[in-house]
Amino acid sequence: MHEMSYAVRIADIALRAANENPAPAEGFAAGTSAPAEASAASLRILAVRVSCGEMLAIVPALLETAFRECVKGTIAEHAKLVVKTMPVLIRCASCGREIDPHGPDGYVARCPDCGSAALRIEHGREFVVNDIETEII
Amino acid sequence: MDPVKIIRLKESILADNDADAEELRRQTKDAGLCYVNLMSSPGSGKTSTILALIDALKKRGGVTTPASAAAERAAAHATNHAASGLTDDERAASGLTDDGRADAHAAAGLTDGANAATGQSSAPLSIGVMEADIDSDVDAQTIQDKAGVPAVQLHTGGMCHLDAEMSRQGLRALGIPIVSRATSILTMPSRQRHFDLVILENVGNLVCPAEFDTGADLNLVILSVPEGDDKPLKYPLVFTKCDAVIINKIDALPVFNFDIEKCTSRIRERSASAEIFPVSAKTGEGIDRLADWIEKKVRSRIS
Ligand SMILES: Nc1nc2c(ncn2[C@@H]2O[C@H](COP(=O)(O)OP(=O)(O)OP(=O)(O)O)[C@@H](O)[C@H]2O)c(=O)[nH]1
Ligand SMILES: [Mg+2]
Ligand SMILES: [Zn+2]
Repeated sequence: MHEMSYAVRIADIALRAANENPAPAEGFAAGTSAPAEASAASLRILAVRVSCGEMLAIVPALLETAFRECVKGTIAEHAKLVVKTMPVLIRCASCGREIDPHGPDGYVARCPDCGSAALRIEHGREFVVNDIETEII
Repeated sequence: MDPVKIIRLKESILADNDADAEELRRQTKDAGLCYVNLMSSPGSGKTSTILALIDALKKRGGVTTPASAAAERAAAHATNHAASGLTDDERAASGLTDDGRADAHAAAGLTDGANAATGQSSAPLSIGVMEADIDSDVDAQTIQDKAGVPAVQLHTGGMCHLDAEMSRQGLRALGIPIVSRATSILTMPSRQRHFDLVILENVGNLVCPAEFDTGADLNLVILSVPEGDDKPLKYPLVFTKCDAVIINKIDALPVFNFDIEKCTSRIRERSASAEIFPVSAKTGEGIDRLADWIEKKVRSRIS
């Protein structure tokens, strides 16, 4: 159940970001920040959007379940978790050629063009929290 | 004012851990330690391979019990005195406890086949083991009983992998003086010990341990014959990221439909540089070559 470790980190990042970006409360001029407590109570997270590399073998439904557990009783309790899966893309560090392991290239240890073994996994291993959507209530 | 606001983050979930793993590598380098992460599916033979490996290392350069700072001083003491012909009683009178003396002898290289080392001029290695398990102690106990080296059990509490901070906690539990950000800034383990090599038996799983950098210097994967030669196809990441693949249980090759050549080329497709070691932890076949390689890596890391 490796989704749980990701869910914990996602919830952490989202809640921290919401706290660090308090909503400007009514009655405060733009540019002055609202007292932290007032703003925390007035903010709710609507959505959390993440990108997840295919190589991580994350099951979105399990991630969603785990995330629900992590955000119970927080301002993200009803947040929607949007998971975008990133296909694997490998690039040759010497000549820049793109290698698609699902295409005709397959998984290769060397660049089909220049033979270099310096291949980088450009996509497929990442797990990024892209943004969160918040609402003032 | 629009009540809905999007906060851009682009924050990588693994980045924190990756940075922490780099930090741990700096810390273990300073502590003169080579930290090895051993990964495999459940039952591939991680515990058995660790036992066979320690056994092989004992037979060559020898393995010592890790010296505490005090024991190291005592060792110097003991050797000097031995040379100057002091009796045991006199040495006892110089203030060494029984414990200290045991450690001192070990540190001076007098235990566990260190003497048998021929043509091996390097000092014996002090080895520790960390056993990660979701919730049991059996493996740590086995290592301590059978290999006679210090072992700690790390309970991951349901998590299927170890991250850098959990590694650090385990290393601290062994007595390695490294600082953790999670505990108070300057506390060091109360009983400090030096290790040259610490082997982590990661949780039996080929997916998550590959994603979370433990901060290890060497990452090894075991793939065992009964699991089939197509594992590198099913779990590409772990084979992409490892420094060596151990193909274990080769004594069982005759009864399984396992093509070692095919498996080797599948591993090669994932990693052009990983070393491949076919072994049997049961019969000991191939273990010497593996022990050679690991010993070389450890010595170059800690020198
Ligand atoms: N035939 C044969 N059996 C082996 C070999 N190595 C290990 N085994 C057996 O495989 C089983 C599992 O070995 P362990 O060393 O406990 O495997 P592990 O990976 O530590 O297992 P977990 O910690 O439970 O994930 C035991 O019954 C071992 O005796 C080998 O080289 N050949
Ligand atoms: Mg085991
Ligand atoms: Zn190229």
